[in-house]
Amino acid sequence: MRFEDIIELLRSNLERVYSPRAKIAMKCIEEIERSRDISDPLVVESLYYLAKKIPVLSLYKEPWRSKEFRLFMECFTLSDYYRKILNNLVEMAIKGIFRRAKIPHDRIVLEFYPGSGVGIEVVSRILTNKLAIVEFHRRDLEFVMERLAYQNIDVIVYEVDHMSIGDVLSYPVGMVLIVSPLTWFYSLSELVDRACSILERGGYILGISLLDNANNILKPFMVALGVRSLSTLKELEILLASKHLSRMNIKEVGEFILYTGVK
Amino acid sequence: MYITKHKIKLRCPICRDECSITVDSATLTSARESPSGIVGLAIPHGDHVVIVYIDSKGRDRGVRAYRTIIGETIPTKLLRLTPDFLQKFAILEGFRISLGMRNIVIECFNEEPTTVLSSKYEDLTLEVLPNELNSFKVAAYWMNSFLRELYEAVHNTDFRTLMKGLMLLDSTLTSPPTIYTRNMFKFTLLSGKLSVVVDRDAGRLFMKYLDLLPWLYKGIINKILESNGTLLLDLIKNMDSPTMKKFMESLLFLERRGVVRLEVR
Repeated sequence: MRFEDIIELLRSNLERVYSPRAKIAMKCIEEIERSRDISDPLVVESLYYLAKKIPVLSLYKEPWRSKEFRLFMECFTLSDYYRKILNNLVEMAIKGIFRRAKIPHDRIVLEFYPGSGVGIEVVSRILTNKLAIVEFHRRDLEFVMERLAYQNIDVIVYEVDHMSIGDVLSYPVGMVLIVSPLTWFYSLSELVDRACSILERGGYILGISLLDNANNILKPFMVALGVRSLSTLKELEILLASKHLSRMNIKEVGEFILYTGVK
Repeated sequence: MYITKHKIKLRCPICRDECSITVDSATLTSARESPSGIVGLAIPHGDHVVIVYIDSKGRDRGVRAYRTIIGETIPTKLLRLTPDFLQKFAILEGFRISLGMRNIVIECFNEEPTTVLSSKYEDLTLEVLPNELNSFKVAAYWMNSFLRELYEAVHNTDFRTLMKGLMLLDSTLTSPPTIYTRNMFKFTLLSGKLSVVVDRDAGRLFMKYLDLLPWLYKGIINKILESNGTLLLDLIKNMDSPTMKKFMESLLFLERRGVVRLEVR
């Protein structure tokens, strides 16, 4: 299956949808380079599925909390493409953080809206700190807990939204992860702000944000679903600098911006 | 201990098959203590249940077959299942479930129990006799969870789905509770009314990465994906309790991703 065919399917399905988001997504489609090739079969298949389901997803108030999005997200985050992105982020962190500093053992690693749980799973293989997740949506909590249980990964669950996490935290936080596709549907500024507020001094933030680029293959799909955290490299730099993070490391990789910083 | 008295041979009024039932001393005691003077001995028989009414002298006072039992007018409150029914269970060596306002008690014990684990929710009571137990807290969680779901589903539950629910309880009783299995009892108790509907697109995508989820039971996943339109009860009716637990876990897994949905018939 060619990317061009998937985009064509998305376009024809968006034409049947009457929503401001669909109109913006149509504009994104016009800008995208159709001859672009995607080699990862799971990325191709997951986007094809998403393109097919756009009419249904458009009916939902929060499509990113739907069963269809969960299936897409699992397939996408298990792809070699996404795993390479995650590994890239971890490598950035290893070069920038772990070789020079360790997270004290009494501090937890906490992930906002972990989605399929692939992010915290990768970190669990590197760090021995206690792990925690923040997820208030019951069905998404079931979704991630299922994977973590099968992988024998113990996590502390905070069943609240990211804005309320400060009220319920029971451990000092040494690292916050903002890496799953679910986080794309929240204000990045709010997420980073909240992460900085709960991090202990010297704590780390690791994130993957969607790159706001006309040629980002994910952009029309996510715009159609209500993405909130698209940003350019410059915007992200300004955002992180405004939170007074030090040792910032920001770089574009494929459709994403990877970033790390220290409070 | 129950002392075997005698066997009664009978013919099922629905399928005409011949079957036999053992009348023991406990049955006679139950009949003696019952206000109606009789006790019903139940034999699960495919999609129906045969009930033989026995009086305190051990005499056969009639045979009837019921499709659902729960909600039907039955002349006796206590229904006893013959102990060979317990062969389907791994951990439970007996159970008694009282459906409160439905005015029916179903029990099945190998031996007269001296101690049972008991749980109550609203007008429902469940007593079980497990042969092993990891933790009272865990067992209490599952028993309470079962009763809560039964309370919600009691109008759509029949004898077969109730027994399937108990079989599921049998396989979960010693497992740690998990958030992602919370609907297992609900779907099992409603399995006589729910059809499995497979979303072809979602199923196709799921199969593309199934190999990356090695903890899943592939045979069961394939069976579910091939069962479009089938009544859930028909899929689980011949399963033993551990297989049924795996099946229900897999079903919930697929349902959470929209690969299947459960539609009320």
